[in-house]
Amino acid sequence: MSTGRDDLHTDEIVLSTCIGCGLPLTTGSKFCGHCGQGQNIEDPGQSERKWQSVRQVFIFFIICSIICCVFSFVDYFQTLTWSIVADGLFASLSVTFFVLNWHRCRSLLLWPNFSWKRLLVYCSIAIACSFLVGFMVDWLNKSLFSKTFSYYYFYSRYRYGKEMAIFFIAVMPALFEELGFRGFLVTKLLDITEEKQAILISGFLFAIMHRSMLSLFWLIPFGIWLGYIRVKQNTIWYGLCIHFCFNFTACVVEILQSAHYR
Amino acid sequence: MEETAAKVATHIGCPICRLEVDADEAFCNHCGFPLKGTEQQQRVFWLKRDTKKKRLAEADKKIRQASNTLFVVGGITFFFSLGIYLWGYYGSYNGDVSLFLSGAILGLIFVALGFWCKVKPLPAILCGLSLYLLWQVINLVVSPSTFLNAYVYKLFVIGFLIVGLRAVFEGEKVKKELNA
Repeated sequence: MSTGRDDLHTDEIVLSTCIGCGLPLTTGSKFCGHCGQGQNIEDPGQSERKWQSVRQVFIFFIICSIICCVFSFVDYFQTLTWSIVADGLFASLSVTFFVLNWHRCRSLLLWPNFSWKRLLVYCSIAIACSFLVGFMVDWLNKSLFSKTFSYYYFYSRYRYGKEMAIFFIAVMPALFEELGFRGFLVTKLLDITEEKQAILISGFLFAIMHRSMLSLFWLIPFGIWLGYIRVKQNTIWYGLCIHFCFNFTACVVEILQSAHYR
Repeated sequence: MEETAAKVATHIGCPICRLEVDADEAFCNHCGFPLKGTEQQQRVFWLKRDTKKKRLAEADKKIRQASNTLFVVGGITFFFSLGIYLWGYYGSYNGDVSLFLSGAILGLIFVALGFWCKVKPLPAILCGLSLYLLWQVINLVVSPSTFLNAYVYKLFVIGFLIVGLRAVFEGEKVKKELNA
């Protein structure tokens, strides 16, 4: 955000000028010695703009919560058709908020400084983490609740169950969660606060949106990692690939386990 | 030695912030005090500075209230889930361990956010409010008949957190004005 301060370029040094009277300022001045104008004051509309961004974040989050909760907890909606409707609604929500902030978000669709090596490293870490997390979650579920949980089980009874599972577990969430959380949400949070805090908040919101208290131990670090890569690389594509690799690995493991026990 | 004497001659101490200012300056460039202003101008400066300090103190108070709200929500959630679990464990039915774990983790998260709020109020309140709203949405979907139970308490929690969030922005703005 520009403070409206101009700089006078001389041959050797750059002198700042007052935002009020335009006269040169002494180095390190917080107030102008000539007119008394504060040099660090906030743009009058900035506070309101920040609050508007907070509102948009909450609107996105609450709609997202309602969609996820209704289709997860109401028995009536536990069918394939309604599951597709839920995924469609979430995808529309992410795309809508992304497009509404198109001027701020569009640069994230580019892939600056693309590197195969970096992509390969990120994806390898994601696959390794997916195995580790899958093992730990399975162990926790067995130890605490004496049961196992499988996302693939829901799709396994349908024709093309494997293909559907991969599409709805690996492809759709990777694409639209990245668009919504790392695309829209992180961009809005960066309008409100500094980078580090924006990454932490987006990681936390991403984690709680999955509605599993026990899974927070890996969802929060995973969300923070994805947010960090989004901010560092200024693109959502690395995050999208990582997210896809992570979910795809978990999905394939579940499919293989299911075939083994059959 | 000569240099030091020259510095003393060209610099004066600001009566407000006590920092050194160039004697030629009409205003202190650290705090904005009108060094060469009339008594009236200096009084106005005092009043404005005092008002800003009061606004800052008010914002800090609201942030503290939001932090306390997170502690209260965390404590109630933790002990309520523990109570329900123990009541079930020693009572007529088996205590639900998953329900207890969810409640306990939820409570501990709110307490942790309460502590974080003292250091970084913006992310802590934003996360706390989001978590509380998600919890209420789950409550509405899973058990609509109990959604309105303790609605005054729920409204107070949401209200304190929203007020705290606004106070963070207000505090940031005033701090910049004061150049603190």
